Amino acid sequence: MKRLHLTAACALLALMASPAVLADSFTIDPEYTIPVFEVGHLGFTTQRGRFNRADGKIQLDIRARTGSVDFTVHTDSIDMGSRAWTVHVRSAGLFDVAHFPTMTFHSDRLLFEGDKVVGAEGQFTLLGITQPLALTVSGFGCTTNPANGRYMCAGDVSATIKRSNFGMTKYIPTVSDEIKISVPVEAYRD
Amino acid sequence: MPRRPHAWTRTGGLWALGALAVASPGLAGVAEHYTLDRVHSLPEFRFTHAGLTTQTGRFDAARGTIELDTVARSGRVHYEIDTASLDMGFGTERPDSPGYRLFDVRRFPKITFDSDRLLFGPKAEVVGAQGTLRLLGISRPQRVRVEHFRCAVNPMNARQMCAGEINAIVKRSAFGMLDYIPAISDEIRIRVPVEAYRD
Repeated sequence: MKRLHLTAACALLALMASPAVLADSFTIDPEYTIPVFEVGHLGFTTQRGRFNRADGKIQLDIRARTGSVDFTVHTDSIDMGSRAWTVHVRSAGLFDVAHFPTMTFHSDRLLFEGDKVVGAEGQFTLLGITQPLALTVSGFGCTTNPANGRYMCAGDVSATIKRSNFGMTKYIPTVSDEIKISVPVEAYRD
Repeated sequence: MPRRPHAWTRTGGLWALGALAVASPGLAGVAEHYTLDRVHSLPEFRFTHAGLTTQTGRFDAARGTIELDTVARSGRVHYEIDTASLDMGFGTERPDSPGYRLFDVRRFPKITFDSDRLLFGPKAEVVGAQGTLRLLGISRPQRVRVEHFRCAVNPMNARQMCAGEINAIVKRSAFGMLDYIPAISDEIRIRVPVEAYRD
């Protein structure tokens, strides 16, 4: 009921002033928002790794076509599938998780096509270095999840970075400089 | 991706012979035996969740062997996955978790793929395999695509390696895995990077 009051107040404010106050707040579901990255191995194969733990908040006002994203990946949750390899990529020279426990993405510029989010422009911080990053969102949609009756917005996020831009130069080019990132995002309205 | 010349000198140089071998099947080369590097050959599968996102799962324990004769353009593959190594990324799978139940891990500890029909491209490179996928105790014909096939010496350890990317699409309902359709899609896309060292 609190939400109804708030929504009514917001609607009133929206009529009077900025439409941005209608933004809904969403929290990502960490079980279905697991970042995956791809890296070229020796020019032979594409190997994939994963971060098992991420947090995120999204503000979204579809009518005003505005929003913001704060996304944090816990680097010590990296998981290459093999224990030895996982330990190795956590170490200094690679993700250096002891010194850099998180990497983050922040954006207050979401890109829309109609009422669909199709991208975001923001700042990505890895190993303490912040660089601009544009990412693409495909398959964006909002629905009530029939499994739990809760309203969610979701989509597949993808981006490509050069790790050398963040000072992670070890093993280039044996392990490719270019890293492809894919993050399925499922976020429930608070 | 630039190809190392010595890789293709080897297979490319044998290409003409390979073409001859097709005409005269009696002329077989010598099959080479390869074993998959278990660290760099882990299978992943992707499915659509709630019609919205692409989720990825992985098995952390898989092994395989390959016999390859690029002259005769023949070969065979055996690949097996331990279903108990299912890893969705959110912690240890429990016997009662949806994933374990879907794969019925206790009754079916392995998923296997066997093929004795490798498909070759114009440069005697492997481009696919026609074989049998066995999942939940049900065997079905399965074709897989192989991309970026390449054999060369791995400069990191000086060992001869053949590698490629396997892609396949499976409808899980064909194997009787029906739970959660369509919230978890029927269509499953499989990707396996394969790095195999000559024995």
